[in-house]
Amino acid sequence: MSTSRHNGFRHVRRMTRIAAALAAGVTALIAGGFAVAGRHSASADTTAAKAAVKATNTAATTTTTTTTSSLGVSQAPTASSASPVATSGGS
Amino acid sequence: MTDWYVMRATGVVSLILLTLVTVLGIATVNRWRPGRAPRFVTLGLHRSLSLLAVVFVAIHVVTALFDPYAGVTVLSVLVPFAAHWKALWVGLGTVSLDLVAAIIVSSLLRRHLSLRVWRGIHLLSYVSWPVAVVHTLGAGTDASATWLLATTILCIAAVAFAALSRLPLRRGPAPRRLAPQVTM
Repeated sequence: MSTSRHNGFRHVRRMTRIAAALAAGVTALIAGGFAVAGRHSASADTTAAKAAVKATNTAATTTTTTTTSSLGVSQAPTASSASPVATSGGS
Repeated sequence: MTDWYVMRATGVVSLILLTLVTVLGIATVNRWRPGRAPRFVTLGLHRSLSLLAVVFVAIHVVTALFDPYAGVTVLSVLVPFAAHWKALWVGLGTVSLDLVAAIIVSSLLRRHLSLRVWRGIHLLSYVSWPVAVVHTLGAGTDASATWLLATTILCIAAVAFAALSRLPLRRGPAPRRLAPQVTM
């Protein structure tokens, strides 16, 4: 085999190895980016969900208190109205 | 969840590799060579990178099979437009995969095929690659993302440039220069 041909094959092997390494690296980079973005959006969704649950529960508690006041019955807020806030805050 | 990320990432990398393979294929026909290297280097790179692309396409397909969200079945991998999720776009991916498989198998069996048959099958790459691009834009979750759009546009530009360079720009003899008319 001539030197030129030998160098050519070596060139092909080296370029293929570089391309394979680059492809694997880029795949890992993109997949990692997706994972980070996915975790980020999941975290944002959880925060938004927590805020929504808290707002709903606060409104429910207010309604319960208002209703009991209008009935003229002195009654402390029930445990059922208070517990979801604690539950949602703890998750 | 990991297979979902790997599937999307290998899909993008497969598109880039298939683009490189297509460009190198056109460069081989054009008898282009990198620097002072012999011409067979272009052909060798075309062959080895096509096998590398097949590996990444295979990972893309296998992870799609295992991912419950994509809902890709063995049938939809082999038969176009049989998928339940985004049937058209996933189906185009299947068409591209089948064509790539035909091109690779015919190249591996080239000794047993006539040049005409092999060439005819190999020309299917001009269908397979654009179909893969459309599959990326249609089925890709990140198709609207700027980085993926930019990557796709770069891939299209690379193949368009290579294909245009293959076109014979001078058809027929050069136009004859007319003798200046003498006006009285």
